[in-house]
Amino acid sequence: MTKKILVCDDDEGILDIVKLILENKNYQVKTINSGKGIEKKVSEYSPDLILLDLWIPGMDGREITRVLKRQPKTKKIPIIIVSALNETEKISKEIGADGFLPKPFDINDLIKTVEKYT
Amino acid sequence: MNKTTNSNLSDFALSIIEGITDGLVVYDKEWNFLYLNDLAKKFFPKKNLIGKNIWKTFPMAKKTLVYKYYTQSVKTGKSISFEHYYKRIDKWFKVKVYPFAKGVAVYFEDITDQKLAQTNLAHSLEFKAEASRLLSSSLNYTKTLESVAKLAISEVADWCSVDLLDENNTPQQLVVVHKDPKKVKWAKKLREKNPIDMDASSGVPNVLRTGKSEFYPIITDKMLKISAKNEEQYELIKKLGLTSVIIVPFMVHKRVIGVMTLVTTESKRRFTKLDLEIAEQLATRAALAIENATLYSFVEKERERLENLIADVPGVVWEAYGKPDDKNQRINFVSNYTQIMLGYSVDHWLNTPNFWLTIVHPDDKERAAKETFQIYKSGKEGVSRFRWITKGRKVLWVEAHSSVIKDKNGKSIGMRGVTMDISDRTELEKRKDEFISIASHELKTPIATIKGFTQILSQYFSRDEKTRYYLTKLNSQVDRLTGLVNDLLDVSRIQSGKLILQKENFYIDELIKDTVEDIQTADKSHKLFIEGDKKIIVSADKFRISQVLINLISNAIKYSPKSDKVLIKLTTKNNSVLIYIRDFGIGISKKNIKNIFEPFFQAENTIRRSHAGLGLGLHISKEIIERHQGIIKVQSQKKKGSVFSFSLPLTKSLKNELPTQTLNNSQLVSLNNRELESI
Repeated sequence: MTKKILVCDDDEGILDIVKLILENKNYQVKTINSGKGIEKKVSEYSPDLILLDLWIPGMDGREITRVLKRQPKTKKIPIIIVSALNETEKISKEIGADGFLPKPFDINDLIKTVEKYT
Repeated sequence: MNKTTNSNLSDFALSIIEGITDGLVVYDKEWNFLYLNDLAKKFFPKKNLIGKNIWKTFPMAKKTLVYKYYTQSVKTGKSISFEHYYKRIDKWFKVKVYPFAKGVAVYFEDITDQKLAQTNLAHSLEFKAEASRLLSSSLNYTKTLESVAKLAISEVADWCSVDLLDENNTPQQLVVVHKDPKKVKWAKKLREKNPIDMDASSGVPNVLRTGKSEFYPIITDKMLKISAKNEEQYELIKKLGLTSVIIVPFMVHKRVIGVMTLVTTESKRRFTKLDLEIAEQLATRAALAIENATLYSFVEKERERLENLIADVPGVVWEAYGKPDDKNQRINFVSNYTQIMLGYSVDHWLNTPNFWLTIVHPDDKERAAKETFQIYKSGKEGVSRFRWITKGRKVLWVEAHSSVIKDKNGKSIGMRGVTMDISDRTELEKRKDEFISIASHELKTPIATIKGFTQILSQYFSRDEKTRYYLTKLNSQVDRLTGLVNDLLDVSRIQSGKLILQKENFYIDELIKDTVEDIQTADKSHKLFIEGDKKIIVSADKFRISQVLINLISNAIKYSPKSDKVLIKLTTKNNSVLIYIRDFGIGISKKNIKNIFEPFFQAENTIRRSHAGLGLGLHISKEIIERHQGIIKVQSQKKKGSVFSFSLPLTKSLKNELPTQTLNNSQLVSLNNRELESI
């Protein structure tokens, strides 16, 4: 069964890359460029994995993680923080994300990480 | 006895009597003078007394004790002896009255000196006690000396003056006293008109020179004539009527600082040896008092100067004794700036144990206390940053620079320092950090996109080898760009002390293996050899240690273009793990080796062009290792290569399993050439 990935990032280039690579690996990919209404989108789409940037308009990546990890419906969906912040690892652990991928990333690491959590 | 012998005998007796040092007067039964020896004749103002009646010639004597004793002796027929002061000639005599058949013989023994000494002694003891009290009572020595001089004129002398040497070694008359203020004025004028002749062979200049007292029990006219410079001066001094003079030096550490001159004039009192002794003792004490007062005033001036200096420091200057906790600490000093900076008074500080900590922001309290205690324990200087909350509830970022006060055995007994408001600076740093953080994030975001597309092109869309090769080049340049952005961010963090370690336990040998494999995959120019122990656990920031390894190994490759290998060695020694990275490259000159860990440093200016980079790598590596309580070192020989080494503490749980060898830090630096070869 095709796994569903939700990518949330405000950088269109990153969204294109991730979509291209993951679709090439036979994932179903949906992208959004803001945190606005993400809860609704998550419950509608019900992805197997979320790739989440930290600095995004609408709702901050930390806040989104906290919200999703609180909801019984969404708390089991793994969240991977993909960020260019140097504290990516530290922040990911603090907010209870499942994994992290610092930007700029190697596309092979992206694939490995996604495979690990799906 | 015949007449001749009688007469001979009488001549003989007479010659004896004439020669004796006592006065002898013989009266007949009617109190007429029968005989006076030469000495006795001098006592009486009138000549040719023989045959004259004593009481008729000197009617005043009848009213004195002399008359009483004389008549008593004749009446009882017994000799009598008494002491009496003869005012007219200013002499004390021991008088012995011997009645005999034809009249009375009276001996006069001059006891003036003994009598004076006795009265002086009684006076002197009182004088000394009072003088001591005066000398120790005040630190204003001019005033004190004046009091002592006044005491001297009321008890011993008619005049008393004190001269002290000024900084030019010229005597300055500090004090001159006499009962009559008019005479003081006159004496001062005299001194002005006749300044001390420093070349004079006697008097004040001589005492100043030699440090030896001068004592003139009686000043004769001859002495005056010799000492006076001219007729006018002679007349002037003669008018003064000098009787007796004592000049004593004030000595401090065998150095003469002044003299005291005691003079008698109109009282006609003659100083005795005892007076001299007392004057000398007094001078010794006065000199000491002057010395103390001078030192005290010096210390006071210094204290005032330092206080002004401290008052100008824009920070809270403080000093405290005891361990820095509320049970032991006693705040000794705090500068007035506390009022300006914190709104709390100096008294508030002094009265509240460990006050500084009570106003520390709750979030910083534990850390600030710990850091301060650590400085105290280390006995070294230290800096601690924390927030203070002012009386007006304002939060200030402060920086406390402390040093440790030690006793003579080197044990820490207190602390002192200055705590400054660095809120402005902290705010600026915060903004800078934020800016760098945002800048690096914003720079890395497009880099991430470039990297992603480069890799996509390389992996999915390039059909020929050449395109793939160029895209790999592009990718490695993107990685370099990322590295530079990260380096800048790291340096900014190091400088603001915000390089935070995420420590975890891991196998250092495995980290080395993984890192080396990654580098080896990307670089085929050098073969990387690993040698050493296995399963070595350290507690460290894995990412940061990997960063150091990458930096050191990349440098080893970069700076050995003509070589084909790099050696990496891992050993454990006592509580540390030591990692060596050795290359066979260009090496580092002695001149450059000491600066190699400085930021923005690259070994040779000429190399700057051939070796890219910001020169931050080694600086960052050093910071990372030192944050881990490790040591990073380098040993190098020009054209032969370099060995970079660093140590990390082993986790405590493993300590017991390791052989106990003493780790000597110098083992890292003292790696000699043979060892260098043997790695």
